[in-house]
Amino acid sequence: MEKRKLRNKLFLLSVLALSATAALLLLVPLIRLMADAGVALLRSWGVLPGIWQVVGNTALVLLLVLLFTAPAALLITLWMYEALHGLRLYRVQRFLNGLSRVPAVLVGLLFHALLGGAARRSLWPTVALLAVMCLPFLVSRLDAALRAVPEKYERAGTALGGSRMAVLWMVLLPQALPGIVRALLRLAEKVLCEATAVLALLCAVTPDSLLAPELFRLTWLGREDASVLAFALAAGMIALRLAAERRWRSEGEEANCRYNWW
Amino acid sequence: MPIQLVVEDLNATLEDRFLLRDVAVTAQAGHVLALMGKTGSGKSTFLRVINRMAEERGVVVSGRIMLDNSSIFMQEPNELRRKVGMVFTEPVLFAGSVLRNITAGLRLQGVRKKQALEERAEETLRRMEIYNDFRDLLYEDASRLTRGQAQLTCIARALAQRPGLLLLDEPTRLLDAMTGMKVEALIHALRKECTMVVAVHSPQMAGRIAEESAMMEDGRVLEWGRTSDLFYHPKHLHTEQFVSSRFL
Repeated sequence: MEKRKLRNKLFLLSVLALSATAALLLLVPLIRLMADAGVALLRSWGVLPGIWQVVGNTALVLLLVLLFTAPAALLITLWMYEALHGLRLYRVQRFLNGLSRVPAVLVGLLFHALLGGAARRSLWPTVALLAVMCLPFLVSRLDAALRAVPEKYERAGTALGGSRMAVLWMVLLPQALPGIVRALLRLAEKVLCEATAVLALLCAVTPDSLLAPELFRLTWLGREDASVLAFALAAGMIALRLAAERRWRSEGEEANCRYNWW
Repeated sequence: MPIQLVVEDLNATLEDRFLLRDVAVTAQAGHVLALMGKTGSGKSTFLRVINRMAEERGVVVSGRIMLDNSSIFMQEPNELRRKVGMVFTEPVLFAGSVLRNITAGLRLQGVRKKQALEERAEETLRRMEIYNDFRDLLYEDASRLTRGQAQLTCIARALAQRPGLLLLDEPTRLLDAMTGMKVEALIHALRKECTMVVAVHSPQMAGRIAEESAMMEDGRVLEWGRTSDLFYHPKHLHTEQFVSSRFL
């Protein structure tokens, strides 16, 4: 029994390590390419009317953050689901919840202290900052979505003779899909919110930054277009919140019965 | 092909608490064995011990469980579960179409060819003699099925793997009378293809479907044998009360 448990743990760890390495190997060149292209794009957008440049910058940052955060968060969630139980799980969940509630401005200041100079040259610092900031948020939401899948699905999948990983990928994840999509929409909403705060902060402390100079000028120099931008961002976030809350409500009614099988 | 199930000296404990004690029953190949008893008597646990799902929840099992003279403890659990299908009380349908549900077991084993999956689903439904009822539903979302159709889909999902032994945990308890009768007729017809162990919630059902029956109480088998013997010559007071539906 102990041997089997150890073997399962080793198997899970190796799967996690391999998946993480593969994801990084695939993502890093992609992100680098997009970031380089993004910088070129940012430069070319200099001639665009103010608000479109801001919208473009924010969308690019959002895309990069999602590309980095979503696979990483999913892998961490699967590892938590398989490897953590009882008190350890509760502690990690509390820790993640605490991290996801740290105000963006605090994290922004910290990162500015560490990477402020770099923000003038590339998208990387902002993307890295938002990705790190959003990772605990997304992991805790994905974890909740996965654990809200009633235990009966796992039992039915296991009874069919599926391996642990097959049941996870082919039964539990599709069942948790509404919750996963909801979590991603909430992440997009959060990134849009946080991106505004972080970009504004970075622009304020580094006025010659490549990132969102129009946003800085609009918000800090009091142009009239600032109200249009504020309305556009608010409308976008409200739409995302409504979509997340209404369309993709997850089924969590039996989540509390999960550990009461016997 | 139906396989014979022999259980001897079976004990199951969870955290020093006995769930099953000295259980010994046999289900002949191609027969239906009904497990009778009140809620909590150990019927569901017994079924989960046979396909080794109980062990995954920390239940410690000892004794002999033989499938055609081969111990289940010598077999890899997932391999065993492909030979021993299971149907639960509550129909559990996965996300996706009815076809995806019926072929879920095959897909979990890595079968991906659409044509092979469709052929197996059709063959299974024809064996169950419900192909005409399900033909137009195969590509529908499974969440649209009625509870009765959902339970039939779950039985088809288990049968699509061609098991030699099928475990059914009170399969008709949540169904209306007509659908329940349909499932019972199906159990009757399927005995040519697999042996079945059915936990029943009513003695009448055991009388209708099973050649052999076992009466369970507090994790023990009080008595087992031919169903007619248990009904007409019960040796134990609890059995007599259960089969006559007279509870004191």
